Amino acid sequence: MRKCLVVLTAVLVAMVTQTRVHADDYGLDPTHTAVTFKVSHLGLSWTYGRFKDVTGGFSVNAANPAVTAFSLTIKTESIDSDNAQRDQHLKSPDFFNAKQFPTIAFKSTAVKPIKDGYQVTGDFTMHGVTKPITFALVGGKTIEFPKGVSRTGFSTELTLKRTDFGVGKPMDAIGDEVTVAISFEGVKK
Amino acid sequence: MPDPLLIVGASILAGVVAAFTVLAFGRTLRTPRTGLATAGSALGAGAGILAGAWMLGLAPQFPPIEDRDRFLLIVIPAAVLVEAISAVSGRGRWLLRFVVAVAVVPVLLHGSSYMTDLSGPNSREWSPTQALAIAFGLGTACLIVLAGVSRAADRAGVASLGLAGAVAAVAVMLSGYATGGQLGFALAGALAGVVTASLIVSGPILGGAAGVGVVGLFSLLVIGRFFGNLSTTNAALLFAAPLVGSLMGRARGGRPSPWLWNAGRLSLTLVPAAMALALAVQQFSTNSTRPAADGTGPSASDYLNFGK
Repeated sequence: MRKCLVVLTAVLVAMVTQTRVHADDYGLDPTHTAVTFKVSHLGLSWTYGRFKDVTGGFSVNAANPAVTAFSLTIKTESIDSDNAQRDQHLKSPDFFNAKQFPTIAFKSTAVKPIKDGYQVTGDFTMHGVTKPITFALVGGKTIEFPKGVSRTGFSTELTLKRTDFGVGKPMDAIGDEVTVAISFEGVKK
Repeated sequence: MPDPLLIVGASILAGVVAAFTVLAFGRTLRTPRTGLATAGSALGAGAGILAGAWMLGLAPQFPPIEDRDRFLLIVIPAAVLVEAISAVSGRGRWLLRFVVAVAVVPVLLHGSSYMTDLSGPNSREWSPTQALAIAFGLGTACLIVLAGVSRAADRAGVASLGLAGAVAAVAVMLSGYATGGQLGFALAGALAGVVTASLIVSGPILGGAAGVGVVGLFSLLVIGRFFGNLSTTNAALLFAAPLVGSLMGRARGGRPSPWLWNAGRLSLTLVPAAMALALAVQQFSTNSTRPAADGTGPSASDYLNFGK
């Protein structure tokens, strides 16, 4: 009897633990994912651009945000600022050095629930330099679209200093601060 | 945007450092030996390039993560060492030069997406076999140019190299790699300094500088081609330019005069160099911003003077 109780307790604990660590895994939907940026030009206007090749995934557990995690990988060569000459220059070692550092990556290390989403902290790697960043991720609503497919989405906006990552030198003509907007949807696996 | 005044200053500094180095080797010896003076010309060329790069704000970082760092910390010192050893001992000269020539591509492209799986398994652009073939092929081309230029490594020959270096600098900058291209001006300035110093130090001492110059030009074109957007055609034209100039060989006494002969050599060098420059300018114009409605737009100097 005692043995039965011990075994039953162990099974119950395992089931609870399984529930607590289980998170919903999502793969990024590239068609509905956008990473765009803007940077000041001469202090007069913004120059906009985007990265067109973005992959990644995330795991969400609303009951236990501690196991929620996000990761994103961007191909540096996919930069597009709607100007071929500028894009070539951005890909060169004068800025991103796409041949030496072909990806920009983010991997979360801590996730905390906040109103309307999460506060996410993680390691951001760009141009061979890794620095911790924190930002607020808004979203998390889940719907079924198309039928039988569960999807959710998040978005955020953050500001980085490109020279902190060695992307280009300080110059008056091009701002140091770059505002990045990320919006993504994920499809539940 | 590159500052033309800074570029001129860096070129001059490169020339001054190179010249003083050559003079130090050639004039302080009571009976100057050609071997040591030739080693001095190699060292002068290398020191000039490094000094020019420093003034341009391109001093190398350690560890050498990027191509510019590897060019300044590994390739140029290796070329200087090989030319210095060749000048003093003369043994194994061409084997050493071949090793340096073949090593340039793998060293400059080390850790890049061409040769490393940076984006996951099998993501490298060249297979190991392809990388080896490219390194050997381009290295052999470098050696051929080196052999041709070394045959006529006098003032006109080294000046041709400097001229090609200056034009290559502009072409690489126009290809979208501004900072890398500027290294060509440091190269040109250093070689000009060596040529100037050779007016004072007598003897055939320029072989060392010619060797460093060829490897320097080759490296500049490799980083322009593979890290910038320099076309293969332009790279080939620019690398062939000093070889074309050396086809005439050294000036001989009599008619035509050595001045005319050397002017002809420099003109021959200019032909492929000018073609490459014209193509680079054309490509730059095609890719540049859409013109404003009234056909005007900011110029490079407008950007340079912004905020001053």
